[in-house]
Amino acid sequence: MTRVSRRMFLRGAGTAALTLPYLDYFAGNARAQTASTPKRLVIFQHPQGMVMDRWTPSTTGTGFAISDILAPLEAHHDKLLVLSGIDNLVRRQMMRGNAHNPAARSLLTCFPYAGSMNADGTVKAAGNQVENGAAFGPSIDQVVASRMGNPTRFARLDYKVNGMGVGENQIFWGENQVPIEAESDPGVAYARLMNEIGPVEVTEPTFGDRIRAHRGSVLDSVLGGFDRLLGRVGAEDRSRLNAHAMLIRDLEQQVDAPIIESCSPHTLALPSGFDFASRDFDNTSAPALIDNLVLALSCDLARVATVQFADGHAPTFGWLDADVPGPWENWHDMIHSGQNDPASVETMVQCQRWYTQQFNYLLDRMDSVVEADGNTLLDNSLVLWISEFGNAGVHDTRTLPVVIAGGLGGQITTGRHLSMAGHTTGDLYSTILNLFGHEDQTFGLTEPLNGDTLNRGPFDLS
Amino acid sequence: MLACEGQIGPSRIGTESAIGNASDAIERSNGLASGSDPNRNDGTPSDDGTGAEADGDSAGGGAPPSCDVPYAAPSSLRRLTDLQYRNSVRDMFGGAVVPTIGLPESQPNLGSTGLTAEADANIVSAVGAARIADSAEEIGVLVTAGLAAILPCFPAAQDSSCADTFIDTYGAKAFRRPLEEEERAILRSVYTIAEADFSFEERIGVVASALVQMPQFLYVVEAGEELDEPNAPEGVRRFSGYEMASRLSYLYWDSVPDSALLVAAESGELDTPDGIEVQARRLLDDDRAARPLRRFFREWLHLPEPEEKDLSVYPSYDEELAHAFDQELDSYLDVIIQDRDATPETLLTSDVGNVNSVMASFFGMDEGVSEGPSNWQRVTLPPERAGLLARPAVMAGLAYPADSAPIHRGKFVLNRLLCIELPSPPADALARQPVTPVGAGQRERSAARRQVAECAGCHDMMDPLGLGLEELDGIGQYRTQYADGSPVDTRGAIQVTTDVQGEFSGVQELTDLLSQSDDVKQCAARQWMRYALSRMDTADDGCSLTALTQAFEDADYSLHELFVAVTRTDAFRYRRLEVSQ
Repeated sequence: MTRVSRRMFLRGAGTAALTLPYLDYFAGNARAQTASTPKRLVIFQHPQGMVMDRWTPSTTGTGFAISDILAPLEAHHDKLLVLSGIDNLVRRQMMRGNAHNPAARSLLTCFPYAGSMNADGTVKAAGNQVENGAAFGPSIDQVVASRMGNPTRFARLDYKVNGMGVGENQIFWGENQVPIEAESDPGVAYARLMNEIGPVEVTEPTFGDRIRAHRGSVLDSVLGGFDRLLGRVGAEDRSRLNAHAMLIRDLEQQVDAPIIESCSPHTLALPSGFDFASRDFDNTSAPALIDNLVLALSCDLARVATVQFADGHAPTFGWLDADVPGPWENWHDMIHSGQNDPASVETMVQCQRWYTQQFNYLLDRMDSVVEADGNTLLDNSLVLWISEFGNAGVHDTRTLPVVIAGGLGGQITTGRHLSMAGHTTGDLYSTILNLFGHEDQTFGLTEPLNGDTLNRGPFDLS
Repeated sequence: MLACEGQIGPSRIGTESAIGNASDAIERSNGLASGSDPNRNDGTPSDDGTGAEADGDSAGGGAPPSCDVPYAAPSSLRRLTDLQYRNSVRDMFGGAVVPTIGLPESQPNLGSTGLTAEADANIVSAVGAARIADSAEEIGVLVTAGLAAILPCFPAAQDSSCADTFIDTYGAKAFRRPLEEEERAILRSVYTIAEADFSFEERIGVVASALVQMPQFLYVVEAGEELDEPNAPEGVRRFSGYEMASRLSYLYWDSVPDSALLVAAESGELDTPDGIEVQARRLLDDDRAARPLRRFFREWLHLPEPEEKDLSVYPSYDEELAHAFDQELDSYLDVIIQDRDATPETLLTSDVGNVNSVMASFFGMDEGVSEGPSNWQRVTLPPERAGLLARPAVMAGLAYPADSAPIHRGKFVLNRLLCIELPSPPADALARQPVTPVGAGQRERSAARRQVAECAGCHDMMDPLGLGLEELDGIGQYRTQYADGSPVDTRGAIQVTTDVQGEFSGVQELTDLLSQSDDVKQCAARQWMRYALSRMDTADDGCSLTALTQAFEDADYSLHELFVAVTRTDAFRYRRLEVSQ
């Protein structure tokens, strides 16, 4: 059986879409899966928050209406748990320095900078705090990983999209205030995994594989057909056609997940001239790194993995027909200054939907891996998507955009949107620890400087 | 919506709002109506909860000045259904390409028309958009694999002129009209772009995958043409010949027009009612019409999916029986469809059926029927099993898992057979439901319900009707007593202002009543018109419905003639664009 991963096709303005060369194709070489299916934690993070009123679903509960920004996830609706209203209040303990460092350091650790902590575990008075530095404690992923012991070849795997420095967006922290480093070169990451998996048989892609890979180009032409028709119909019909055309544009941006059995290596296919360090290739790096992450999990080379969009400063989203940075200096400025400019807001929504598409690709891939217990890899995992800000325009770390996907082996009731107003990131992480079999009632800092309640305890997601 | 208050008559043809002040039209409408109740021609007031879906007259434009000028309600752009799409692809390529993936299932509005082909039942979602692409790619692969049979210039020629032949030939079949130059250019560019990565026959497959994703194929595009009549109301347009060809072929075949129909379109034959009728009759005579007509009856009845039955109550019910019920209904309908002289009365009373061994034994027929679920044979049904209402699929469908459902049965007769629109129950209906003792029978529960003022309006209409069918249990078996030994009371009543108002006892007496009803016949015409238009009829269609009902009567209520006659109506030949504000 041939398996092909359809990668990104860049929609060129009036030119042929850029298709990636297909090198060779690996047939399945599935290693026998162990009988017990392990539980996995995946964390997916993008910087600079969301246009929150376009992110938040308008209804709560089962069968919630998917929101504008989350629309590309519709196919996974029933495997999603959208949690709105969760606050990171630890950032309010961090009194000095720019707004980005404290948000990132505290996001997954629930601790301030190490240099702002007293020896007894309390926070220093504002005047004695440092302006920057390492997070005092490990991030939730590290806590989960280290408590697992060392069951797999890699204790954790960490990927970041974009080779430029993480800097103020360093969110993953190990023990002893050491930052977790992430790999951004899909080739290096792939080679490292394949080195463990060993050689696999090579087969040719079928015409079916290749016509699928050519989808982006065909859709581009189909949209030409829509443009022609739009001018000939009445207003109501036009809005029907426009809605359909918008979905086709989303589809063009989507990379398509092949059906794979457990631990079936894909082929790494990167376009000539690919440069993981260049912002122009984020749209190729992201699915390539996600493919690696899914390969590692499906082959049980790791049970904790992260993927991060490291660059919050000046991503260009050049592969979208998006006006970035518009009248502003860069993406960061657009986020901060474009809040009241409707055109900029639309551009932000469009770009944030791109993050959704990447998350959707991760879920597509994870949901296509069928494991020994008959569930998909996604069903056996907890995938957390979070950003360090809610409304990034004002550096607000409250009401973060939080999505959990997958049921962690049936422990989580998905297909819901819950309003979690009043709960904190500490509660979210103690919940995750409980789901992984631990009994923590708090996570991170427990003694705030001000009157904030940092931990109300884990909540029930069953 | 208000609860049913007082009596509600059937939604009437030729309502006041539809006919305005044109006195001749009122006369026509009155003349047509049968029965003696003076209230019956009052039309349906807009605030009585009836015809809320039929609120077309609020879409702007108002009523037609008279039935002498062409008029119709606005209509929406509709996407092909899964069935229409599969048939279209199959017929376009002469059977050489049979898609397996297809389109997402339609989401018919069961509270309204229940039509699968209605525009709103086929709105594309994100999942649907991906499915369309998946299916298109499959079609591309199949076209490439079967290209020798599809493209005569191949394999001798493998060049752009052979590709143009494909584009022009199959483009015209897919779009149901000749391609425009710009459309041709789009498809040519697909061929050209694919040059780098694909062989010739693969490139044709890629073009095919684009073709079947074009909105000109996926949607039934009906822009219409300006009218040359000087008195035509504003915004009214006539469907072009090619658009009419698609209307006819999707109505009778659920598929693309054949070449004869496209030739008729090109020659202008479809610009006149007579020309349309010639083609309508030709299409109806073709075997391909059988399945869409069955779909019409199915969607008219729109029976709910049979619920899981409680096997402790119905131990004989299993998948084989459920499947046999379903097939038995289809075969019953097929007999009606094949009978050129069938009328609504035939549909309601026919004793011609088909049984396999499962159904023969269910009906208690001891004649020799070959064993095996697929051996069906034509039989004369036992008298108590004659007619639509005695079909097990109908009675088991209108039932609960462990019991009959008089409410659903009453509503079925009122809403589907008499075209009476009933409002939805109030949101808190279940909460208001009176408590009855455990073990209370259907009649006792109904009586309690009807004590509650908010419930009585509708349940006074539905319950007595459904209770008269109590002799058929939750899986459509005859019974004379309930499980607790108490006797089944089969007395029922139609307590609605129709020409069949009155009392009856049991399914066959109700069948007799309904089969004599003109209201039922008019309802059949209305249902067929909705089906033919793929939308709810509105007051704007009043003149068309009047004309159709008249034609039906003139043809002695032949269903076959009804199927043809709708194509002559304004509602089928014209559309009105929404008036932009």
